[in-house]
Amino acid sequence: MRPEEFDELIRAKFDQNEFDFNPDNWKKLQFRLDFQPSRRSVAIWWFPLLGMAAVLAAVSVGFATYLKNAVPARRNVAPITAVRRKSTNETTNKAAMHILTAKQSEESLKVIAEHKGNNVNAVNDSIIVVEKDGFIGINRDNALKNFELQKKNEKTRDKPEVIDLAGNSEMVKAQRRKKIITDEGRDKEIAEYRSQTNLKKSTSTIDILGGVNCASRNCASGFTIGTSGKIMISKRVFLEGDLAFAGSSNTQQTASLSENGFSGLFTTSVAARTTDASAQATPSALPYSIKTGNQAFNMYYAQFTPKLGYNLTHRISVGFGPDFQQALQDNRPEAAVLAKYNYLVTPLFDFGFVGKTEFSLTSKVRAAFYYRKGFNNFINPMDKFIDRDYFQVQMKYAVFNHLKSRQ
Amino acid sequence: MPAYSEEQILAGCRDKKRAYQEQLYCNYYSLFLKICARYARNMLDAEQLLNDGFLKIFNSIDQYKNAGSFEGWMKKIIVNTCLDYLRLVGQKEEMSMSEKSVPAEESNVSVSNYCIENMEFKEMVRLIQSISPVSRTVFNLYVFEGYNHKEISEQLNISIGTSQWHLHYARTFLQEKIKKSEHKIKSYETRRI
Repeated sequence: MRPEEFDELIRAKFDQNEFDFNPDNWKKLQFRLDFQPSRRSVAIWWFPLLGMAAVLAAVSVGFATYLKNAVPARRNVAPITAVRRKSTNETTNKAAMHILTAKQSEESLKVIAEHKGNNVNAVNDSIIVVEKDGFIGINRDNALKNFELQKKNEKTRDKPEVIDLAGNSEMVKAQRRKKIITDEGRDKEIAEYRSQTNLKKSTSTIDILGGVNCASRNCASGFTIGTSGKIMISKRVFLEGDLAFAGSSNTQQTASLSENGFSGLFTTSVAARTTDASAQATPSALPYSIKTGNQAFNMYYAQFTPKLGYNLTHRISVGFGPDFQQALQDNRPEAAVLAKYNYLVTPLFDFGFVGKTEFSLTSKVRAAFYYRKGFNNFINPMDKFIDRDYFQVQMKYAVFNHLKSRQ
Repeated sequence: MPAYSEEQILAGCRDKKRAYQEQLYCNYYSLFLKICARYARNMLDAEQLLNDGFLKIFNSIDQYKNAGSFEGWMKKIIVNTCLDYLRLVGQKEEMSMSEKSVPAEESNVSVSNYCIENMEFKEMVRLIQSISPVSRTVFNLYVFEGYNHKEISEQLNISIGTSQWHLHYARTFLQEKIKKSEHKIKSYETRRI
């Protein structure tokens, strides 16, 4: 007999015969349909809301912190000093022409009024000019203290002296670092002061990073370590890329069916099942029972995250971009292939998107809040992957920071 | 159970209505169980495969866009379920198979048409189920699903030569088993006479 003839006979045998319908099999399927996990569990819908709320809160806290630490407006910036020439031991008019930019308080107005005879004048609402004597104050106590000090110095006149300044602005602090300023050094002082106080911005940065992931499901909590590079492409817009090693702790539920003799194992996510309790308490009248148990395992991924970012302020930035993660090793529990399309599995190649808000704590240290949303199930029509959605708190330390003046 | 048209069944299944799902299950029970029975190692697994396949059909029925035959779409899911099953079972048994050479000539075990035609259907199913998983699957894909060796090699990630070897092995195995059962039938009939 030729092989084709044999094949034809076998095919005909199957075409000519039928299996009788067995209602028990339908009951078994009906049971599984009734007890299959809901893909849209309660835990999912509020998670993005929680993420948005947390990011909003983080932005608010960061903005409030920024406002609190903000440097006063820098109009007419100049060192506030009174300089006495060594040669004449006199305070020159020129040296005494100092302008302080500060918000003029009610107290300072009183000081100005009291010492009008000492050539203290208010030019406008925010600028105080000291015309002759090196005296200035933006609050009453400091102003009086400085005035007394100046009077004392007028008696001794033995050495040049910088008259103390009131206030707590950055420029005052910078000024205090120099105890003696000569007339010749004044221009240098001004330039130096400007270089100190003019904030610089970085044009490119390389950081080392470390972060902790937190997820509402038991599928993505873990850690991230790696490196990050950032380059400014305009005044506020930047490109950034993270290259990292990520570990995530996963817990999946295994379920075995018994009674019908089939020995397959079914693996499903804990989070994806909303009817776990009911599934475990299968009534004995049902066609078969399910025994469930949790199985924990770790997955390790290589992660690459390019992002496009925008500097909202010099301390706060936001960014958004795709996230690619490739599992370095398949550590997943052996899942029944039968159940492959019925239950969710952890992806080996995981594609998602990240959004972040980042805060500069210092010139070298930054903190970032990430939200990562897995996107595999939108790509794969069989909807079979666990969404590795998580929050991440990340710290970055700049190992290389190329700075450029704002001017 | 009322008889529904295919459009009604499709619409009902999309709405997750049990009555329509049951109707669909009844309509295709035998056809799909025959497919599963050929791929599985026993009837219990075949019934399990059938239910797994129907579960996938019900869960993904929204993805059927009325393009092409509905039966063909379902059949593809059932066959894919069976292939997944093979990967599970085959992994344990012989997925690590090495390259196998095809014999120069096909075996020519003489099996009569009479014997095949008079064989019990369940006995035929049992014989196919007794073939080793990969050979059984190659045989099913080639004989019943109409795949060629190139497609089989891509589907199962084996070489074309290995696919040919498995087909040959499955045919020879079946023919020998059928031949044995033929002897049994003849000796039984001789004793009766």
